[in-house]
Amino acid sequence: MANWWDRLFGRGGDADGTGKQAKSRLQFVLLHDRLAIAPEKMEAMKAEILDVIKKYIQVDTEHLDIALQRRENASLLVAEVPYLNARMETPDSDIETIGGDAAREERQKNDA
Amino acid sequence: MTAKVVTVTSGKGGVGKTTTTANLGVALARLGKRVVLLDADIGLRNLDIVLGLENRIVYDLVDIVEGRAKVRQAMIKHKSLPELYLVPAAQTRDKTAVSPQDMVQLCNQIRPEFDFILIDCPAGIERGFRNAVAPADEVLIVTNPEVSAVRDADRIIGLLEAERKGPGRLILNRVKAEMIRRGEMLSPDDVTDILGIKIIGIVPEDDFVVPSSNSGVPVTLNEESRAGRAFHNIARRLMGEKVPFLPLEEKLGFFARLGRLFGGGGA
Ligand SMILES: Nc1ncnc2c1ncn2[C@@H]1O[C@H](COP(=O)(O)OP(=O)(O)O)[C@@H](O)[C@H]1O
Ligand SMILES: [Mg+2]
Repeated sequence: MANWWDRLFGRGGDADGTGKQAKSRLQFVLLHDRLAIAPEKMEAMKAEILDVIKKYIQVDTEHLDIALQRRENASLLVAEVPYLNARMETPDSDIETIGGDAAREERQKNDA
Repeated sequence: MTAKVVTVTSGKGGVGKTTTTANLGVALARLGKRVVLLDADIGLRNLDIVLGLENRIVYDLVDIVEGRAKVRQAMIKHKSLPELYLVPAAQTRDKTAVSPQDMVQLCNQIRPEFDFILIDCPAGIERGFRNAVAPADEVLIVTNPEVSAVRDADRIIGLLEAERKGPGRLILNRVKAEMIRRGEMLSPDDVTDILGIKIIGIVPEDDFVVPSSNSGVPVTLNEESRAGRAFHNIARRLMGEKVPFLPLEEKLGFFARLGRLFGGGGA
Protein backbone atom coordinates (compact mmCIF):
# COMPACT_ATOMS: atom_id res chain seq x y z
CA MET A 1 0.00 0.00 0.00
CA ALA A 2 2.84 2.37 0.84
CA ASN A 3 3.88 3.19 -2.68
CA TRP A 4 0.49 2.95 -4.29
CA TRP A 5 0.17 6.66 -4.99
CA ASP A 6 3.70 6.99 -6.13
CA ARG A 7 3.17 4.24 -8.65
CA LEU A 8 -0.07 5.82 -9.81
CA PHE A 9 1.77 9.06 -10.35
CA GLY A 10 4.62 7.25 -12.01
CA ARG A 11 7.10 8.85 -9.67
CA GLY A 12 10.51 7.26 -9.60
CA GLY A 13 11.56 6.21 -6.11
CA ASP A 14 14.62 8.43 -6.25
CA ALA A 15 13.08 11.71 -7.33
CA ASP A 16 15.19 14.24 -5.48
CA GLY A 17 13.38 17.55 -5.79
CA THR A 18 12.09 20.14 -3.35
CA GLY A 19 9.24 17.79 -2.44
CA LYS A 20 11.66 15.88 -0.24
CA GLN A 21 12.79 19.08 1.42
CA ALA A 22 9.15 19.98 2.02
CA LYS A 23 8.58 16.65 3.75
CA SER A 24 11.61 16.81 6.01
CA ARG A 25 11.01 20.45 6.93
CA LEU A 26 7.43 19.58 7.80
CA GLN A 27 8.51 16.66 9.92
CA PHE A 28 10.88 18.91 11.83
CA VAL A 29 8.42 21.71 12.40
CA LEU A 30 5.55 19.39 13.39
CA LEU A 31 7.69 17.60 15.91
CA HIS A 32 7.75 20.76 17.97
CA ASP A 33 4.27 22.01 17.08
CA ARG A 34 2.76 18.79 18.36
CA LEU A 35 4.47 18.79 21.70
CA ALA A 36 4.17 22.56 22.03
CA ILE A 37 7.56 22.71 23.72
CA ALA A 38 10.67 24.55 22.59
CA PRO A 39 13.36 22.60 20.69
CA GLU A 40 15.90 23.15 23.53
CA LYS A 41 13.50 21.65 26.03
CA MET A 42 12.87 18.70 23.76
CA GLU A 43 16.62 18.08 23.52
CA ALA A 44 16.99 18.42 27.28
CA MET A 45 14.20 15.90 27.81
CA LYS A 46 15.81 13.43 25.41
CA ALA A 47 19.13 13.75 27.24
CA GLU A 48 17.48 13.15 30.60
CA ILE A 49 15.51 10.14 29.38
CA LEU A 50 18.73 8.75 27.94
CA ASP A 51 20.56 9.27 31.24
CA VAL A 52 17.96 7.24 33.08
CA ILE A 53 18.02 4.41 30.56
CA LYS A 54 21.82 4.35 30.62
CA LYS A 55 21.76 3.65 34.32
CA TYR A 56 20.27 0.25 33.61
CA ILE A 57 21.23 -0.84 30.13
CA GLN A 58 23.92 -0.10 27.59
CA VAL A 59 22.55 1.98 24.81
CA ASP A 60 23.64 2.43 21.22
CA THR A 61 23.45 6.24 21.28
CA GLU A 62 24.29 6.48 17.57
CA HIS A 63 21.00 4.92 16.53
CA LEU A 64 18.85 6.22 19.33
CA ASP A 65 15.59 7.82 18.19
CA ILE A 66 13.13 9.65 20.40
CA ALA A 67 10.40 11.37 18.40
CA LEU A 68 6.75 12.29 18.23
CA GLN A 69 4.44 10.23 16.08
CA ARG A 70 0.80 10.30 15.24
CA ARG A 71 -1.18 7.10 14.91
CA GLU A 72 -4.84 6.82 14.01
CA ASN A 73 -6.18 8.01 17.34
CA ALA A 74 -3.32 9.20 19.46
CA SER A 75 -0.19 11.29 19.56
CA LEU A 76 2.75 9.36 20.96
CA LEU A 77 6.25 10.03 22.15
CA VAL A 78 8.06 7.01 20.78
CA ALA A 79 11.54 6.07 21.94
CA GLU A 80 13.53 3.59 19.91
CA VAL A 81 16.50 2.65 22.01
CA PRO A 82 18.80 0.01 20.55
CA TYR A 83 20.75 -1.60 23.37
CA LEU A 84 24.03 -3.46 23.45
CA ASN A 85 24.84 -6.76 25.13
CA ALA A 86 21.42 -8.26 25.33
CA ARG A 87 22.48 -11.02 27.69
CA MET A 88 24.43 -8.94 30.14
CA GLU A 89 24.28 -10.27 33.68
CA THR A 90 23.34 -7.57 36.13
CA PRO A 91 24.25 -8.07 39.76
CA ASP A 92 21.35 -6.32 41.50
CA SER A 93 23.56 -4.66 44.03
CA ASP A 94 25.81 -2.94 41.57
CA ILE A 95 23.77 -1.18 38.91
CA GLU A 96 25.79 2.06 39.02
CA THR A 97 29.08 0.49 38.08
CA ILE A 98 27.59 -1.67 35.36
CA GLY A 99 26.57 1.52 33.57
CA GLY A 100 30.00 3.08 34.15
CA ASP A 101 32.57 3.70 31.45
CA ALA A 102 35.05 1.20 32.80
CA ALA A 103 32.52 -1.60 32.73
CA ARG A 104 31.47 -0.68 29.20
CA GLU A 105 35.04 -0.75 27.90
CA GLU A 106 35.56 -4.06 29.59
CA ARG A 107 32.50 -5.51 27.92
CA GLN A 108 33.34 -4.16 24.49
CA LYS A 109 36.76 -5.77 24.79
CA ASN A 110 35.08 -9.06 25.52
CA ASP A 111 32.74 -8.70 22.56
CA ALA A 112 35.54 -8.05 20.09
CA MET B 1 -33.48 9.09 9.23
CA THR B 2 -31.45 11.95 10.54
CA ALA B 3 -28.88 14.07 8.72
CA LYS B 4 -25.18 13.57 9.08
CA VAL B 5 -23.39 16.83 9.89
CA VAL B 6 -20.10 17.19 8.04
CA THR B 7 -17.83 20.17 8.72
CA VAL B 8 -15.26 21.25 6.13
CA THR B 9 -12.28 22.92 7.77
CA SER B 10 -8.57 23.60 7.20
CA GLY B 11 -6.86 26.06 9.52
CA LYS B 12 -5.27 27.99 6.67
CA GLY B 13 -7.40 30.21 4.45
CA GLY B 14 -7.66 29.90 0.69
CA VAL B 15 -7.02 26.15 0.45
CA GLY B 16 -10.45 25.28 -0.95
CA LYS B 17 -12.98 24.85 1.89
CA THR B 18 -15.72 26.85 0.22
CA THR B 19 -15.10 25.24 -3.17
CA THR B 20 -15.22 21.82 -1.51
CA THR B 21 -18.39 22.51 0.48
CA ALA B 22 -20.25 23.82 -2.58
CA ASN B 23 -19.18 20.94 -4.80
CA LEU B 24 -19.84 18.20 -2.27
CA GLY B 25 -23.29 19.71 -1.70
CA VAL B 26 -24.06 19.70 -5.43
CA ALA B 27 -22.66 16.19 -5.87
CA LEU B 28 -24.65 14.76 -2.94
CA ALA B 29 -27.83 16.44 -4.18
CA ARG B 30 -27.28 14.95 -7.64
CA LEU B 31 -26.88 11.56 -6.01
CA GLY B 32 -30.38 11.97 -4.61
CA LYS B 33 -29.54 13.22 -1.12
CA ARG B 34 -31.35 16.04 0.65
CA VAL B 35 -28.65 18.55 1.56
CA VAL B 36 -28.30 21.81 3.51
CA LEU B 37 -25.14 23.88 3.19
CA LEU B 38 -24.41 26.10 6.17
CA ASP B 39 -22.02 29.00 5.69
CA ALA B 40 -20.34 29.51 9.07
CA ASP B 41 -17.86 32.08 7.77
CA ILE B 42 -19.64 35.06 9.33
CA GLY B 43 -18.38 38.39 8.00
CA LEU B 44 -16.74 36.80 4.95
CA ARG B 45 -19.54 34.91 3.30
CA ASN B 46 -18.71 33.28 -0.01
CA LEU B 47 -20.65 30.07 -0.36
CA ASP B 48 -23.60 31.99 -1.87
CA ILE B 49 -21.32 33.34 -4.62
CA VAL B 50 -19.80 29.97 -5.52
CA LEU B 51 -23.33 28.51 -5.75
CA GLY B 52 -24.71 31.45 -7.74
CA LEU B 53 -27.31 32.28 -5.07
CA GLU B 54 -26.09 35.68 -3.86
CA ASN B 55 -29.06 37.61 -5.22
CA ARG B 56 -31.64 35.50 -3.39
CA ILE B 57 -30.54 36.15 0.17
CA VAL B 58 -33.17 37.61 2.48
CA TYR B 59 -32.27 36.20 5.91
CA ASP B 60 -29.05 34.72 7.22
CA LEU B 61 -27.59 32.52 9.98
CA VAL B 62 -27.53 35.35 12.54
CA ASP B 63 -31.16 36.22 11.78
CA ILE B 64 -32.07 32.63 12.67
CA VAL B 65 -29.99 32.58 15.84
CA GLU B 66 -31.37 35.93 17.01
CA GLY B 67 -34.95 34.91 16.26
CA ARG B 68 -35.74 37.27 13.36
CA ALA B 69 -36.34 34.41 10.95
CA LYS B 70 -37.39 30.77 11.01
CA VAL B 71 -34.82 28.32 9.63
CA ARG B 72 -37.04 27.55 6.66
CA GLN B 73 -37.36 31.24 5.80
CA ALA B 74 -33.58 31.63 5.62
CA MET B 75 -32.97 28.52 3.51
CA ILE B 76 -32.36 29.29 -0.15
CA LYS B 77 -33.23 26.59 -2.65
CA HIS B 78 -30.69 25.93 -5.41
CA LYS B 79 -31.76 26.91 -8.94
CA SER B 80 -31.46 23.51 -10.58
CA LEU B 81 -31.24 21.08 -7.65
CA PRO B 82 -34.46 21.12 -5.64
CA GLU B 83 -32.97 19.07 -2.78
CA LEU B 84 -30.07 21.47 -2.18
CA TYR B 85 -30.42 24.41 0.22
CA LEU B 86 -28.11 27.14 1.48
CA VAL B 87 -28.21 28.93 4.83
CA PRO B 88 -26.02 31.97 4.16
CA ALA B 89 -23.68 33.60 6.68
CA ALA B 90 -24.27 37.17 7.86
CA GLN B 91 -21.98 39.59 6.11
CA THR B 92 -22.17 42.55 8.48
CA ARG B 93 -21.65 40.79 11.80
CA ASP B 94 -18.74 38.95 13.40
CA LYS B 95 -18.26 35.42 14.66
CA THR B 96 -19.26 36.21 18.24
CA ALA B 97 -22.88 36.70 17.09
CA VAL B 98 -23.17 32.89 17.08
CA SER B 99 -22.13 30.36 19.75
CA PRO B 100 -21.24 26.67 19.42
CA GLN B 101 -24.49 25.81 21.25
CA ASP B 102 -26.48 27.87 18.70
CA MET B 103 -24.96 25.78 15.92
CA VAL B 104 -25.75 22.50 17.66
CA GLN B 105 -29.33 23.63 18.23
CA LEU B 106 -29.80 24.78 14.64
CA CYS B 107 -28.46 21.50 13.25
CA ASN B 108 -30.63 19.44 15.56
CA GLN B 109 -33.62 21.36 14.31
CA ILE B 110 -33.00 20.55 10.64
CA ARG B 111 -31.49 17.08 11.01
CA PRO B 112 -34.78 15.14 10.72
CA GLU B 113 -35.60 16.51 7.27
CA PHE B 114 -32.27 16.05 5.52
CA ASP B 115 -29.55 13.51 4.74
CA PHE B 116 -26.53 15.80 4.96
CA ILE B 117 -25.72 19.15 6.55
CA LEU B 118 -22.39 20.49 5.28
CA ILE B 119 -20.76 23.34 7.19
CA ASP B 120 -18.25 25.68 5.54
CA CYS B 121 -15.81 26.61 8.30
CA PRO B 122 -13.93 29.93 8.42
CA ALA B 123 -10.12 29.97 8.46
CA GLY B 124 -8.41 30.11 11.84
CA ILE B 125 -8.71 28.23 15.11
CA GLU B 126 -10.86 30.57 17.19
CA ARG B 127 -14.57 31.07 17.73
CA GLY B 128 -15.61 30.52 14.11
CA PHE B 129 -13.81 27.18 14.07
CA ARG B 130 -15.43 26.06 17.31
CA ASN B 131 -18.85 27.14 16.03
CA ALA B 132 -18.44 25.11 12.85
CA VAL B 133 -17.09 22.00 14.55
CA ALA B 134 -19.48 21.85 17.53
CA PRO B 135 -22.35 20.07 15.71
CA ALA B 136 -20.12 17.88 13.48
CA ASP B 137 -20.53 14.12 13.22
CA GLU B 138 -17.58 14.02 10.85
CA VAL B 139 -14.89 16.54 9.94
CA LEU B 140 -13.16 16.88 6.56
CA ILE B 141 -9.81 18.65 6.61
CA VAL B 142 -8.86 20.36 3.37
CA THR B 143 -5.24 21.07 2.66
CA ASN B 144 -2.87 21.76 -0.24
CA PRO B 145 0.42 19.97 -0.91
CA GLU B 146 2.44 22.83 0.61
CA VAL B 147 4.40 23.06 3.84
CA SER B 148 2.36 25.84 5.47
CA ALA B 149 -1.02 24.36 4.57
CA VAL B 150 -0.07 20.90 5.87
CA ARG B 151 1.32 22.41 9.06
CA ASP B 152 -1.99 24.19 9.70
CA ALA B 153 -3.90 20.98 8.94
CA ASP B 154 -1.81 19.24 11.58
CA ARG B 155 -2.72 21.90 14.12
CA ILE B 156 -6.41 21.45 13.29
CA ILE B 157 -6.16 17.68 13.67
CA GLY B 158 -4.67 18.19 17.14
CA LEU B 159 -7.52 20.54 18.10
CA LEU B 160 -10.12 18.10 16.75
CA GLU B 161 -8.63 15.34 18.89
CA ALA B 162 -8.88 17.61 21.92
CA GLU B 163 -12.55 18.33 21.12
CA ARG B 164 -13.20 14.62 20.57
CA LYS B 165 -14.18 15.27 16.96
CA GLY B 166 -11.09 13.68 15.45
CA PRO B 167 -9.27 12.44 13.63
CA GLY B 168 -11.31 13.43 10.56
CA ARG B 169 -10.57 12.60 6.95
CA LEU B 170 -8.28 14.49 4.59
CA ILE B 171 -8.97 16.15 1.24
CA LEU B 172 -5.80 17.06 -0.63
CA ASN B 173 -6.72 19.87 -3.02
CA ARG B 174 -4.83 21.56 -5.88
CA VAL B 175 -2.61 18.57 -6.59
CA LYS B 176 -0.41 18.74 -9.69
CA ALA B 177 0.53 15.27 -10.90
CA GLU B 178 3.27 16.61 -13.15
CA MET B 179 5.04 18.36 -10.28
CA ILE B 180 4.77 15.28 -8.08
CA ARG B 181 6.34 13.20 -10.81
CA ARG B 182 9.25 15.61 -10.93
CA GLY B 183 9.61 15.40 -7.17
CA GLU B 184 8.76 19.08 -6.77
CA MET B 185 5.55 18.62 -4.79
CA LEU B 186 4.49 16.67 -1.71
CA SER B 187 2.63 13.54 -2.82
CA PRO B 188 -0.60 12.26 -1.24
CA ASP B 189 1.53 9.56 0.43
CA ASP B 190 3.88 12.14 1.89
CA VAL B 191 0.98 14.13 3.31
CA THR B 192 -0.89 11.18 4.82
CA ASP B 193 2.39 9.86 6.26
CA ILE B 194 2.98 13.15 8.00
CA LEU B 195 -0.56 13.79 9.19
CA GLY B 196 -1.41 10.21 10.11
CA ILE B 197 -5.06 10.41 9.04
CA LYS B 198 -7.11 8.73 6.32
CA ILE B 199 -7.58 10.45 2.98
CA ILE B 200 -11.04 10.71 1.45
CA GLY B 201 -10.15 12.61 -1.71
CA ILE B 202 -7.48 14.00 -3.99
CA VAL B 203 -8.54 16.98 -6.08
CA PRO B 204 -6.35 18.13 -8.95
CA GLU B 205 -5.53 21.73 -9.72
CA ASP B 206 -8.08 22.49 -12.41
CA ASP B 207 -8.53 25.50 -14.70
CA PHE B 208 -12.29 24.98 -14.63
CA VAL B 209 -12.52 25.97 -10.96
CA VAL B 210 -12.08 29.73 -11.32
CA PRO B 211 -14.49 30.16 -14.27
CA SER B 212 -17.00 28.06 -12.38
CA SER B 213 -16.94 30.39 -9.40
CA ASN B 214 -17.05 33.34 -11.81
CA SER B 215 -20.34 32.04 -13.14
CA GLY B 216 -21.71 30.50 -9.94
CA VAL B 217 -21.92 26.98 -11.38
CA PRO B 218 -19.85 24.52 -9.29
CA VAL B 219 -17.39 22.35 -11.29
CA THR B 220 -19.16 19.16 -10.29
CA LEU B 221 -21.81 20.14 -12.84
CA ASN B 222 -19.14 20.20 -15.58
CA GLU B 223 -18.54 16.69 -16.92
CA GLU B 224 -15.18 17.71 -18.37
CA SER B 225 -13.73 18.90 -15.10
CA ARG B 226 -11.34 16.54 -13.33
CA ALA B 227 -11.77 18.42 -10.06
CA GLY B 228 -15.51 18.03 -10.53
CA ARG B 229 -15.15 14.26 -10.89
CA ALA B 230 -12.93 14.12 -7.82
CA PHE B 231 -15.59 15.94 -5.76
CA HIS B 232 -18.25 13.58 -7.10
CA ASN B 233 -16.17 10.62 -5.88
CA ILE B 234 -15.65 12.19 -2.47
CA ALA B 235 -19.42 12.59 -2.17
CA ARG B 236 -19.88 8.89 -2.89
CA ARG B 237 -17.24 7.99 -0.31
CA LEU B 238 -19.06 10.19 2.22
CA MET B 239 -22.14 8.07 1.53
CA GLY B 240 -20.11 5.02 2.45
CA GLU B 241 -19.34 3.70 -1.03
CA LYS B 242 -15.95 2.28 -1.86
CA VAL B 243 -14.74 4.32 -4.82
CA PRO B 244 -11.27 3.86 -6.30
CA PHE B 245 -9.13 6.97 -6.47
CA LEU B 246 -8.87 8.84 -9.78
CA PRO B 247 -5.54 8.66 -11.49
CA LEU B 248 -4.39 12.25 -11.88
CA GLU B 249 -2.32 11.78 -14.98
CA GLU B 250 -4.04 12.95 -18.10
CA LYS B 251 -1.61 11.70 -20.66
CA LEU B 252 -1.75 8.04 -19.74
CA GLY B 253 -4.51 6.02 -21.30
CA PHE B 254 -6.71 3.85 -19.16
CA PHE B 255 -4.94 0.60 -19.99
CA ALA B 256 -1.51 2.09 -19.53
CA ARG B 257 -2.57 3.14 -16.06
CA LEU B 258 -4.00 -0.26 -15.27
CA GLY B 259 -0.74 -1.81 -16.39
CA ARG B 260 1.17 0.49 -14.16
CA LEU B 261 -1.02 -0.20 -11.19
CA PHE B 262 -1.28 -3.93 -11.41
CA GLY B 263 1.76 -4.83 -13.46
CA GLY B 264 3.87 -3.60 -10.60
CA GLY B 265 6.50 -2.30 -13.03
CA GLY B 266 9.12 0.03 -11.66
CA ALA B 267 7.42 3.04 -13.23
N1 LIG C 1 -8.75 22.41 -7.34
C1 LIG C 1 -8.60 23.72 -7.62
N2 LIG C 1 -8.05 24.13 -8.80
C2 LIG C 1 -7.90 25.44 -9.07
N3 LIG C 1 -8.28 26.44 -8.25
C3 LIG C 1 -8.82 26.12 -7.05
C4 LIG C 1 -9.01 24.75 -6.68
N4 LIG C 1 -9.58 24.74 -5.45
C5 LIG C 1 -9.73 26.03 -5.08
N5 LIG C 1 -9.29 26.87 -6.03
C6 LIG C 1 -9.28 28.35 -5.96
O1 LIG C 1 -8.61 28.74 -4.79
C7 LIG C 1 -9.20 29.89 -4.22
C8 LIG C 1 -9.56 29.63 -2.76
O2 LIG C 1 -10.59 28.66 -2.69
P1 LIG C 1 -11.73 28.71 -1.58
O3 LIG C 1 -12.60 27.52 -1.79
O4 LIG C 1 -12.38 30.05 -1.54
O5 LIG C 1 -10.84 28.52 -0.27
P2 LIG C 1 -11.23 28.72 1.29
O6 LIG C 1 -12.71 28.64 1.40
O7 LIG C 1 -10.52 27.60 1.97
O8 LIG C 1 -10.69 30.05 1.67
C9 LIG C 1 -10.40 30.22 -5.05
O9 LIG C 1 -10.04 31.26 -5.96
C10 LIG C 1 -10.69 28.94 -5.83
O10 LIG C 1 -11.27 29.19 -7.07
MG1 LIG D 1 -14.07 30.11 2.33
